[in-house]
Amino acid sequence: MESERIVPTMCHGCSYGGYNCGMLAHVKDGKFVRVEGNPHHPLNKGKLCAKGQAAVQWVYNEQRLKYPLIRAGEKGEGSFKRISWEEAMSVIAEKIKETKEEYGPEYIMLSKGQSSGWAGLHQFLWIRFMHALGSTSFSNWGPSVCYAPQLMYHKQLIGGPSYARPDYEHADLIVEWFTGGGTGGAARGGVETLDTNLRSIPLKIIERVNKGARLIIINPQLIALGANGRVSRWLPVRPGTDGALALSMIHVIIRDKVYDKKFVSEWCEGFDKLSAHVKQYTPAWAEGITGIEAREIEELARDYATTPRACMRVSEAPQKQDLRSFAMAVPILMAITGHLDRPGGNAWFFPAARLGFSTLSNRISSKARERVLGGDTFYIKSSGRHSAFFRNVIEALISGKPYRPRTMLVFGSNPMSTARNPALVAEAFKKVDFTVVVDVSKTPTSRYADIVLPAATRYECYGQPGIWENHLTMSHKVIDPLWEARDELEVTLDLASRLGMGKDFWNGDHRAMVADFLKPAGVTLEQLEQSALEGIYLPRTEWMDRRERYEELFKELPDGKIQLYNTVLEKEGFEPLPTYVGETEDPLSAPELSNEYPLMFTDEHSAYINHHSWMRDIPWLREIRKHAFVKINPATAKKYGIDDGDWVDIVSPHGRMKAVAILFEAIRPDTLMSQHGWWQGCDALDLKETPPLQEGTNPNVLYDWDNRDLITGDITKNTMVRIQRGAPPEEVLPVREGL
Amino acid sequence: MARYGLLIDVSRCIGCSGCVVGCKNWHGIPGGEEGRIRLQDMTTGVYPQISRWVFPLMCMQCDYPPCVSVCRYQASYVGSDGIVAVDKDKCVGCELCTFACPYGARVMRNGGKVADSCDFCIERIREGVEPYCVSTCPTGAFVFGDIDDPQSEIFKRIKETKARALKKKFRTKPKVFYAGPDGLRDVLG
Repeated sequence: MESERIVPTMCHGCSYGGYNCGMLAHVKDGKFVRVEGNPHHPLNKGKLCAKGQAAVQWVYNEQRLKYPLIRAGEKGEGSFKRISWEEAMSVIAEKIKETKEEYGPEYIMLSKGQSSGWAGLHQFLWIRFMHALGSTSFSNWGPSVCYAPQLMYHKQLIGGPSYARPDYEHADLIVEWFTGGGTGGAARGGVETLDTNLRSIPLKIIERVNKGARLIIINPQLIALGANGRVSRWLPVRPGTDGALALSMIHVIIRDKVYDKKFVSEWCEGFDKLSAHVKQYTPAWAEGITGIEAREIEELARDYATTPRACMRVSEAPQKQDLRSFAMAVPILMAITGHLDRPGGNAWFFPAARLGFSTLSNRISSKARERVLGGDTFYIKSSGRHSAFFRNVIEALISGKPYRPRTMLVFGSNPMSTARNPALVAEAFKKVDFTVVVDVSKTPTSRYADIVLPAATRYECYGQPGIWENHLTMSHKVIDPLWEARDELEVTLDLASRLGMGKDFWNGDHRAMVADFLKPAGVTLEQLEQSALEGIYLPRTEWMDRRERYEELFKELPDGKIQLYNTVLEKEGFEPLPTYVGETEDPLSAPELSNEYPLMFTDEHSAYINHHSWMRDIPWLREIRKHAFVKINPATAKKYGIDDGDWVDIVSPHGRMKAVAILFEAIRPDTLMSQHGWWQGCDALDLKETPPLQEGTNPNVLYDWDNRDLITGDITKNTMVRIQRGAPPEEVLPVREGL
Repeated sequence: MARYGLLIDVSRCIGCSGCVVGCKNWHGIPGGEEGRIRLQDMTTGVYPQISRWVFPLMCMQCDYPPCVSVCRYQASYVGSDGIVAVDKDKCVGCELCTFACPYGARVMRNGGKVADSCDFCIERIREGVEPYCVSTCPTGAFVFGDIDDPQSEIFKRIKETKARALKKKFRTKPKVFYAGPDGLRDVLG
């Protein structure tokens, strides 16, 4: 028996491939036995959240995909036969060649989810792979409904390369505006958008609150971040009406002249037009829409505007049809109050270096660029047509217009659970000639694949580097892949070689690829490997720590100034000012639906104990919350004869889901909140898989695919429902591996 | 001899379950079995005047531990360092201690054959390392140390925060203390 050997690596808990919490993996007799946080890692400083702690059960989970599979039944059925990697890879390579020759490169599509992160090695490699083929049909599916649409508005309004993030460490007032978030601000970290992991954010907020900073939570439910006396003001806003609240705040700030006059005159254009426009958005008007008292709105607005160091986090949660009013009003609020790029406000944070290699974008013909699905929308045009738009992809697959991609490679993405309207997604998948799904789990999406490939977890993979601020480090392989799982990066390199593109892909040499990826940081792979425990600190640049970098950050904006009256949008035929529209399915706009569907419904983003549609098969996590849930105020529950722990049916005009009721006093009585991502069984706890479509545990069946934001297509997660006691969902047999 | 205790500063607890799962990870407790730590998540008041409370619960490490008093086999014992623990070789699985503990902290393990509860990671303490939950809590809500030593951080923090035990009325004199805002007093009972 050996004593425990320790391998420094990075967590796979909320994503992999990039920079995550540092972890020490304990290995005994060749087995990965337990984990602890790496105290040398500056992000988590030796700490780990529940998901990270469950690493061992994630790796040794018998429910994982173990072998390459080929479809043996109808698409969607989940019947497969085991095949060898060699067979699988040669079939895939053949199909890709065929598609390219017969139809053209853009008919080959590659999509990924959040699992491997956004700007890490995996994304670089996959985009390069597509470009080498000559295809622009790359699509990041997850953020089509959260991060990216809001970011478009943010950039159009205030510039910068990404979100201006809260500078919690210096803030005296922290506004966590997170309609729909279950855990809210307690989770965001090194990357802007992941609210599912703990990383360093909760600690920063708590340190600050303990030093006297005030915490305001705007959310239909009181999130745990605000528990234990931390929240100084909880504003339980009606779901979907955040735009009205934000516009009314602008009204108060301008009316009371508490805006930053110097900043506005030096760096903003269109203030007079904005002032005239928001006159209509009085607090009394907003009270009727948001359910927040006018007096509270007045106080909130003045508090935010007059606290010199006030920050705000809105993130991706406002997934709504009327995203526009909110996503335009928020950056305007940050700007006119002078809270942009100042200590304690919302600032742009940059790493000391950006990792990456060329994605070979020069291989794309202008004809192919024109053919990006959704490329005629302002949204995709404004981002340079680098990727296809999820909604347009689904609609193109169904209608064949403008064309139907024939071969689809799906890496770590599960839209059958995470996308709105899974029935539409299923229909689209059925129309694809040939689909490959690469995943760790046997997802509902993999049921629609022709070939399914088992991905290795990060702990079974060779190094994946990442950078956060100026800390550069990489993960290390803890154990060899189990069963027949393989590293997705190696699968991609292998595929590239089989397609005769080896020369562009380091001739399949994984280490050479990683070395190339590190080059922009001026660090060699050997140096990084030698500092496995501590990583390497690059020098901090002057730029990273400077603030008020307006000249540089606004330079892409017309006249180099913030467009309070947005001339760019105006030229595209959109309204230049934020106008409140509201949600179609809201008792205020659809009173005729109120009799049948008396309650408002939305769902939480994610939680500390799972990540989107991942990890429900991990016993340590699943036992904390066994079933899909819906939170309901006890007064409302009483009215409908519902007790805590009852299975209920939730019915909207579009569908029906099932969940277990949690009676929760800290939620609006007119609102129900569930959570997405529930489908999976957990064998160890004898919990069965549930149907992905109607009558299952998926809130996405309740929303209307067509209720979406005008410009970005962001699909709503607000609707109206009724609730009643009901039977538990039917059991679904997991994907069958055959012989 | 040190008298070990634990302070849980709930003003830092966000109910993330890091300690709950971390404890199972460190001690290799199988899924489906009750762990040594569980999470309380509750509200006081009526909407919209609500306070929400989240904090972990575990063995309170009582100075007068009922689990030890009722054990006929000396399996539940108090060590020389004051730590309440279970001697698994002596435990016969009679479950009496699980009924005796007013905090519900004792659970049965190995298919009901042996009792178990938090022992402050006794094996780590003997190596001079703090309990696992203390070292892993993402928000640093735990303080561990010698509650008799006026120089220790825990001694100072208990005093400064006026931390108190959960349900003092049981008079078992716990060595686990909770600190937090004013309203916490009513919650602790």
